Amino acid sequence: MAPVADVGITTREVIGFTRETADSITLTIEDPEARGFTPGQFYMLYSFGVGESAISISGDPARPRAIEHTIRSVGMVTAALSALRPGDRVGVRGPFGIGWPVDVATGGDVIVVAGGIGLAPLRPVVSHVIGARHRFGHVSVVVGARAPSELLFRDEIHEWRGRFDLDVRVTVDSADASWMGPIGVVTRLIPGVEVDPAKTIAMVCGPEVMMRFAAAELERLGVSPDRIFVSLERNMQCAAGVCGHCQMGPFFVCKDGPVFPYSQVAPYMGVRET
Amino acid sequence: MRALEAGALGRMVDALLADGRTVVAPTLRDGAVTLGEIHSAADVAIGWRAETAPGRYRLVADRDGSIFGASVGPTSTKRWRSPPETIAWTGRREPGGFSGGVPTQSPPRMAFIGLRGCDLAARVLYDRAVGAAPSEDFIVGVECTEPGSTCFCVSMGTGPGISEGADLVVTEILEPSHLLVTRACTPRGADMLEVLGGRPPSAAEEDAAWSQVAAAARGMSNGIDPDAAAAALRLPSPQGWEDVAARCLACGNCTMVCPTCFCTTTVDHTTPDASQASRVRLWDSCFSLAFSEVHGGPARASTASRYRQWISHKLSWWWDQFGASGCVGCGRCIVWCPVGIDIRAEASAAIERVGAHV
Amino acid sequence: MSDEEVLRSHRFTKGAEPEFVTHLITCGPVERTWEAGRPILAAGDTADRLHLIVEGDVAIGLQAPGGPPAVLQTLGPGDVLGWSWLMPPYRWAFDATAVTAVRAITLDATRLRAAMAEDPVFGHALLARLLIAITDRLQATRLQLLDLYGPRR
Repeated sequence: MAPVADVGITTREVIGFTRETADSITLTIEDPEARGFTPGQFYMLYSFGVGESAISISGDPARPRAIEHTIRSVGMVTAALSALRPGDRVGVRGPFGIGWPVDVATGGDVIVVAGGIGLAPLRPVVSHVIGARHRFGHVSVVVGARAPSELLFRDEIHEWRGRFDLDVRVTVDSADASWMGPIGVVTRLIPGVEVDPAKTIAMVCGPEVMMRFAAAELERLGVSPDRIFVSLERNMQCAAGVCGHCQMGPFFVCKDGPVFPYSQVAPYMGVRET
Repeated sequence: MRALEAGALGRMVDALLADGRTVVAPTLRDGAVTLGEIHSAADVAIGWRAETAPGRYRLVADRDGSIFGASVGPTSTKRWRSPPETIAWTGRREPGGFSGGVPTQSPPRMAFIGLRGCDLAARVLYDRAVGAAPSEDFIVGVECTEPGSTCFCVSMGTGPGISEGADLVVTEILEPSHLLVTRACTPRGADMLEVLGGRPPSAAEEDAAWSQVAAAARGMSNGIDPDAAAAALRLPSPQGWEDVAARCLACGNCTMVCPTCFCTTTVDHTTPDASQASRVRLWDSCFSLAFSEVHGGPARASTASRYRQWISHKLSWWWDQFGASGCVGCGRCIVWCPVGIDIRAEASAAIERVGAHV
Repeated sequence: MSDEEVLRSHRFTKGAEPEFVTHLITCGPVERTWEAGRPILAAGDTADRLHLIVEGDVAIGLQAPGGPPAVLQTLGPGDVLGWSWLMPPYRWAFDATAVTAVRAITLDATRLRAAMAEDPVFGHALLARLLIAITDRLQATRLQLLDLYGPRR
């Protein structure tokens, strides 16, 4: 028998639970080994008997003992994971994948563009930048959500906004009169962001269509496609590039990504059903 | 090099069984001569030829009694390397949580008799794709002298002659007399050849073996231009797949019989009382809708996109991922396609569409 | 900054030939401001000005009978507001309201139309720039309609 992917599942304790929105929650899972992670990496989380799902890490890389995952309940496994509470145990494998280029971005400007649940894998980037703020230039965080009630990490975004060293912009696709902020798709906020294109790294995560349009806006600002990074979603099962499910063109999204330079994946993102 | 009489096969099988190996050789099953486990030389399918064409496989009795007369059947060595169904993980519920592990299985010691050049190339590629350590399998390769009309190993550079990947290499000749002209490629192959006996072949016998393999190579005129196919499919056009999509049933047969298709899926099971759970790994196919499922639906919903995925991966993206074409030219996908879709024709059509002639 | 400087630094004129901006200036740019909550233009009124937003947020919406005004989209600094003056009957199709304090450079529509008719090169350049703004807005609206973050159908 071939030693296909390592399927050793470790059981870990859930030590925190936060409800984010009607269908999204954040779980904190203890990692006694404090193995650490790069922003943008993901874990495979296993609910006993139900199955496994690839879930990005949404917490602060400076807190490697408390791994946070923000989960939107969209299927059987994510529903089961969303039902976990502190004291419960969950199966984990990871962390996996290539994360955001925080090292490359160090010393320059950063634009983070997030849509919907796409903010989850980008939150560690913002935490990392805040933790080492002096090492980055101008930092913009552009966030889009479906509606104010579906905005993730509201309190934290409020804190980010309170800082003088972060340019935080939030828009929603629709809102009632109680929302005082911008209304419209997240890509509309990009032209207003101040950038020095040559020293900017853009990190974009959200639905694939949103990422394509966001990348186009960033290119219009002068950011070259090899300095724009996107995080792709495909059907990740083994997380080791062996089961074949997450392929997109020549890439195994689980191990060659999920974060890719846009220049590398744009030709494939542009072809429907790739 | 030795010339062995047909009876040497029995001694070979006995020696491999005596060595504690599970022996796999061409057997007769489901109307095909295909690889299967044998317990004696009597289990080997002898005296058959295979007539193959797109979507067609027929066995014909061979009055010459050839041992390796039938070209490849549907089964390849991946069945033993990574079986169609394996338990990947088992666990049990415990107070306050659960525990589990990967069941440990020591891999059986295997011997394969009758692998063709395409099969040997496929073994290397399959292991590379799944990251498997080199096997200790004992391999008896057979050089093809009667390739099927669906065979195109020559264009993929994997056969019909064999230069590596086997302990022993056999060329079966019927003229001037029925012999297995056999050479050893490894020290343990040489040891086996000692056990098998025989005598040095005559110049005429050696020449017959060589010229029949050369003739087989010359006869395979229809193939794939691997470089042109890789270039044409690197960034496949979304257009031009309507014709093949109209025929393709998305049944996944091609992926099951392909000796390099390595994709698997994992299915979760629980006991009725939910006290125990297992994760079972199954062969999967990129032709299934669920294969590319992201929340809410498949990334590749149309049959056209799934055929495009398969052929582009096989002939182009394999190069990026594993440094070689994923196609070895065995022709299994052509034969066992219920509607006879021919990867050679589809590759040519794709090359034609982009004008990527090299 | 003078009105002219503001006009030259606005996203609408980014990369334009100097003559284009000069031509705009001959059409008499006027800076105007609105306090938060004040209407900027109202559906049905005569579309008489092109607005180039310099500061503040503007809500585009429509007042429905019996309900609060529905906001479809907001515009911000660098955005163009209002192009109904380009074609008859020269009436605004939607309401625009200042969400925050708003400052904009505005240009008189009658003079713009006359300048466009007089100098087709200028007319083409202005129309091309407006078309970019209109296309951006249309694409953004389509993306909004896709309901990207909603449940997959």
